[in-house]
Amino acid sequence: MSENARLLDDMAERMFGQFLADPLARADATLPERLAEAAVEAGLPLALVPEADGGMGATLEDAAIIAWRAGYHAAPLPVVTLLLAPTLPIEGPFALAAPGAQLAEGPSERIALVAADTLTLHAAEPAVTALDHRPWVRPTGEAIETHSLAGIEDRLRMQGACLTAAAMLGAMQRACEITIEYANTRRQFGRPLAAFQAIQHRIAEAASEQTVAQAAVAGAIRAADGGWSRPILWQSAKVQAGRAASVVTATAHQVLGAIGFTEEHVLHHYSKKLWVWRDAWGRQAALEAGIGQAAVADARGLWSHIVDTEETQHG
Amino acid sequence: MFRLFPHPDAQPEVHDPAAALRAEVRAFLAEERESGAIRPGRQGWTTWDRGFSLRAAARGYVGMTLPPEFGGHGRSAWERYVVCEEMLAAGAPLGSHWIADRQSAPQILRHGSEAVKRAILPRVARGEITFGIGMSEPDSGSDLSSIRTRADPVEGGFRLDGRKIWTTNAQHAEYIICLCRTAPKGEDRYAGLSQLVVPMDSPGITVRPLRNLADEEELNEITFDSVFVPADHLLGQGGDGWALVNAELAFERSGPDRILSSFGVLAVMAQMLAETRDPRGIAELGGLVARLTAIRQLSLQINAMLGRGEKVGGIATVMKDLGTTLEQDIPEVARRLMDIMPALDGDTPAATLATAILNAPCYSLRGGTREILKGIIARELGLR
Ligand SMILES: Cc1cc2nc3c(=O)[nH]c(=O)nc-3n(C[C@H](O)[C@H](O)[C@H](O)COP(=O)(O)OP(=O)(O)OC[C@H]3O[C@@H](n4cnc5c(N)ncnc54)[C@H](O)[C@@H]3O)c2cc1C
Repeated sequence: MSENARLLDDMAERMFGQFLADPLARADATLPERLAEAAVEAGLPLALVPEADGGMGATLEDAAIIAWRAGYHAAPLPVVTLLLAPTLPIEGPFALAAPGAQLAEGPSERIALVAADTLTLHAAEPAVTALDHRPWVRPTGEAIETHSLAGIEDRLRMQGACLTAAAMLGAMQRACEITIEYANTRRQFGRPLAAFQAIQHRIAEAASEQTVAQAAVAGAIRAADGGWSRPILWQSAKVQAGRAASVVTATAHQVLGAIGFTEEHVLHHYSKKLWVWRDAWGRQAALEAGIGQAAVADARGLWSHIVDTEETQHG
Repeated sequence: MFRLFPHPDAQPEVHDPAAALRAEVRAFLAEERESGAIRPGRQGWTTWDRGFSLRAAARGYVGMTLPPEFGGHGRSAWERYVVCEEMLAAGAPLGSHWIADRQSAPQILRHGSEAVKRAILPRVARGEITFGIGMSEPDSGSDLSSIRTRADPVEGGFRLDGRKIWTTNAQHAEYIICLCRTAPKGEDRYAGLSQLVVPMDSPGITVRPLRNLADEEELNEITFDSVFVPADHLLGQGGDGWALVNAELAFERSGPDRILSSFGVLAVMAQMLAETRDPRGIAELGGLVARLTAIRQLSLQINAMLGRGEKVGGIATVMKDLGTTLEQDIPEVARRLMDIMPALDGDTPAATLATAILNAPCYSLRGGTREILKGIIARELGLR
């Protein structure tokens, strides 16, 4: 971890921890707003803004660490928008839809849409409530602003997928910790649940999926920062994060039994976020189909498609 | 919990696409295909072909990371990884040198006597010799502490008695590294084990090949009847065999051979889908390619850690478990997507699928069973 990353990590941990350590804090309806204000005050949204524009000029890896902390605390705020919106030439707050999507996590009175090289801003209206109770918005009416930005869709797709996956890693880390703690303390038949091999193996599977997801996300983010990114790397990382999320949440709920199915326990904050994120900023099934299409279309053959760095990105 | 990201002490990634090395290996593999030494889809990495290994070694592809003073090429763990994955993806017959290159030579380099290192390592790097893994016995598989093969001290060395089984390519092997008891089993069932480098031409050794599901004779039973093993053929200090075996298994569990055993089937699927453009098939293929790419990232990170001499422990176990599950999933997806009758004597797609189906059960057995791996992972997670 770089010095910068360590600072951001400490700052994010302190901030999210302060707001969310007490489970009862989530009952306060003003929490999301206060949390968003605190994030702005701490300067977190400036992470990815270039230094020349008054930002921190942080790497994607640094920014991903903020997302990871938000995930680890299941923070009720749109962390991907928080980090990506300030990199766009629109003043003031707005919700940011993933490229191609018409819905974005709010609340917000404005929504930005991205398609190819064009960024448009629209008035927004409430649309639906996501599984994690967060309000999503959709555009209404014509564009109020239009910007032409070369390569914007590709950049946002990649960064949005990596940051979402990083947040998922944080949430999965906490969900696994909760599951392990519970298995070691809850006793049935005179033994801790963790003494039963069926439980051990199930948790091992969940932790294994999370471990592969960590490696894939780390690989994708470092490739992005290093300038050797390829779609297959970040797409696979997001797909793997989604698969891991399904296994981790199913395992956590199975091991926690009925208590995990109620509001009494914090687990649901994590599982609900994971269920939203696995299909946000890159829907798992769509990414898989895209990876398959690119693989069969590559005249160099499958192996080369998987391992070779494109000529243009050499060096 | 295993932490790879974010990791407080993560090493900066060095990006080396190794394009020149890949091109060089691919040219060699193309020649080998041309000459018929590589028969795509009809072989596995355990397929024994001394000629192939000698030619690969002549190009410097065996013993790559061994120090030059022992005949090696002093190349990086990453360069070795690149060569290995290129050969695995091509479906090359690696059986003659694979085990020696992957685990026996590194084990001897770390724990062998000077004389054994000087005598054996240069021959490994020349591709001249085959090693066997002498761990399993008829009554000891997952529970290796229960092995009964014993080595008793005699003048100048040990007298070895017992049986080993499932020893891959033992009938061709010049040596095996044999796990044996040098002290009777006591309170601590992991104490009193040792590893010996056993020359397979020693008097008193019999090898009986066993035919596997794919109709190949690769597995063997070995009987040791009062076999003399010189004292300097002991690895480590004696009695520390359990730690040695586990160190050896780390090399065995995290490599590209735990992801790519059925890659040939995936390649056949991609070729077929390029023609049919079946969207469901393409999506399924994409899921498998994503999985392979993700697990490969884990394998690469472990390889880098091993290369830096760091401990990897349970992470290697995770990689092997998920990698071999993928290897088993690939033929299952393929047989649903492709209207091909698997047949060893059919055309390339039919033979590739047949080979994968017939070998798939062993992926989650060899090198430690799935259940044992999950047990190791659970223990590292603090579950007990
Ligand atoms: C193709 C192939 C190549 C091999 N090559 C070699 C080689 O070169 N050298 C060598 O030494 N060995 C080799 N092996 C042997 C391999 O390492 C063993 O098969 C493996 O360790 C399992 O041992 P076993 O077959 O005796 O099964 P067992 O240990 O008897 O296990 C049978 C089943 O019970 C399960 N089981 C056992 N203990 C537990 C437990 N505590 N909890 C839950 N489930 C459990 C196992 O997971 C397995 O599913 C090879 C095997 C194969 C198939």
